[in-house]
Amino acid sequence: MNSFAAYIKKEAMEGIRSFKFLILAIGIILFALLDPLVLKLLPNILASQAPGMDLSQLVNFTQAGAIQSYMNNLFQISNLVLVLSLMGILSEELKNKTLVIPYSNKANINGIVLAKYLVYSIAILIITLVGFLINYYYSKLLFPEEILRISILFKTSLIFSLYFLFNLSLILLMSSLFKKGIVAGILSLSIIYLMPAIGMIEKLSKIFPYYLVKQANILSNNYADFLNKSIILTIGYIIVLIGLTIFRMNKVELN
Amino acid sequence: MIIKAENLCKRYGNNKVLKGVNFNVEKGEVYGFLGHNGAGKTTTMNILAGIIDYNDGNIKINSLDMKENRTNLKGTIGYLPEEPKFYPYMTANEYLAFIGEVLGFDKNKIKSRNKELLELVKLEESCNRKIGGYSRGMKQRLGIAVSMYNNPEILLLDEPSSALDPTGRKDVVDIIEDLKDLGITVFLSTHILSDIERVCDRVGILQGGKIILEEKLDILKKRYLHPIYDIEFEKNIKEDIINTIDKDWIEEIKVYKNIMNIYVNEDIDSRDIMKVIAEINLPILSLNLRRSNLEDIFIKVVSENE
Repeated sequence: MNSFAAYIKKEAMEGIRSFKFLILAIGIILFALLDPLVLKLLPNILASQAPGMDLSQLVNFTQAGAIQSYMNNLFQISNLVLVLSLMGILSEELKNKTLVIPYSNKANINGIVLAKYLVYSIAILIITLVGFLINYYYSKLLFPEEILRISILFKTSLIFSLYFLFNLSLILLMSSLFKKGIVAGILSLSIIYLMPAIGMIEKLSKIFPYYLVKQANILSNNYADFLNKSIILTIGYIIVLIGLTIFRMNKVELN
Repeated sequence: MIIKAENLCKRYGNNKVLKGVNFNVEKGEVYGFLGHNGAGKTTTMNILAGIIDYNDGNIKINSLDMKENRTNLKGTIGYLPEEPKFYPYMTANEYLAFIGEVLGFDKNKIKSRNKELLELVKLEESCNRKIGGYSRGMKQRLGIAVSMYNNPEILLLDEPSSALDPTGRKDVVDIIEDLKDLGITVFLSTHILSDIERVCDRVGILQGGKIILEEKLDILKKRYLHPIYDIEFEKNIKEDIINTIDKDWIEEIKVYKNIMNIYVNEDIDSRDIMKVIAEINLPILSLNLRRSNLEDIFIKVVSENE
């Protein structure tokens, strides 16, 4: 418990002083501002390129369309930022041997891993919610015709955050397996970007956490019946991945 | 006996680093752990600190078996790795507080302990500077403070003064002398033999994964450190003069131009050497008694075992 509390403070300090929180915030919030604007300007941009083309068949010029576009970028680009900024979360500690002194002073590995996960989970939850709220507000200003209920946005934000939390647990495990953060990063990204491809197989799609992204994109209360099961499954995956990380970290020689 | 290692073995794959290491460290002594680079000193230190496991053998610390009491023993042992690594964005004060929190100290205790330790290692003035900007010597001193945090009975110091400039080295050795006065048992690994000579009570020499010599420093000096007499004559001396000197206590005589070095194998009465000089019957310019040092012992013992 002492290690857990001490590492909560340490990770929060590291997140602020090494600008990890800031990078995550930029990587997630930037598109909340950009996407509605791009969507608003898109007809004007394309009108000069393809005069007479009916864009309404291709793009959804509504608030929902702007939020869906934001979620696309969250998957494609924010995931990249998430992986690149956190791929060294454990591997850097192993490579730099910064765990040796705390460990020789009774630091508990389980507490260290859980503290790291908790700090960045909270950061992701807050940043994602802020991102969605900014996106909601901004897209409401630009597309005032069809306004979504804010409760739907909160649900969407939570569903998407849970998907990010799964990715965080995956990065944590990969980072415990390799002393080179970049290897952990490449492997994590490969799995994250391969998941939609595997998800195209009908029978498998529901059991992968990417299913949460699909459901978040619905932006209404008409979620599939399997969503609750998918949430439970994803939480289960997170627990398993954290468990494996703790197991690995207790086995690895820290010197 | 505060540390007792018996037949300690450690393998990395097929590479056997420790091949049955045995040593005993008494309470309150400073034990010098010597060996070439790659002899297995750091591996032994890491095992004693509970950072890595060992394959065979027994370690008892305060009569408690290391394997069975690894977690409990960690609190009683302070460890300074060869190159202590800290979080560079923290200040020394913050890092010490972080270690205090890991150990479960309350805020008041952390505050008072930080003050004591920063004074001990003379880092009070720079305690609010980021560690990333510290010199190697300052990091080493901070490492000593961290290793002392839990008031350990045993302190493991792995090459604490290597790679430091002479001032940094002196500071570190001074701190070790202070620790000795505090009654802390220090297990000191180094290849700087002058540091060992200055602070250690006993030494163990590790070579080829085994301890090849373990002895109290004063006994070791008596056994191995023999005086050398350097005599400078007015004129060059002929080498055949060596054959005329026949004494049991003379181990070796070397002659170069007008200089003669007489290596003696025991502490002799200085008048005996005067008699030898008188027998040579040549005018002398100077007579100098030179004592060999721990480096000579180390080289001699290691070369005997190679």
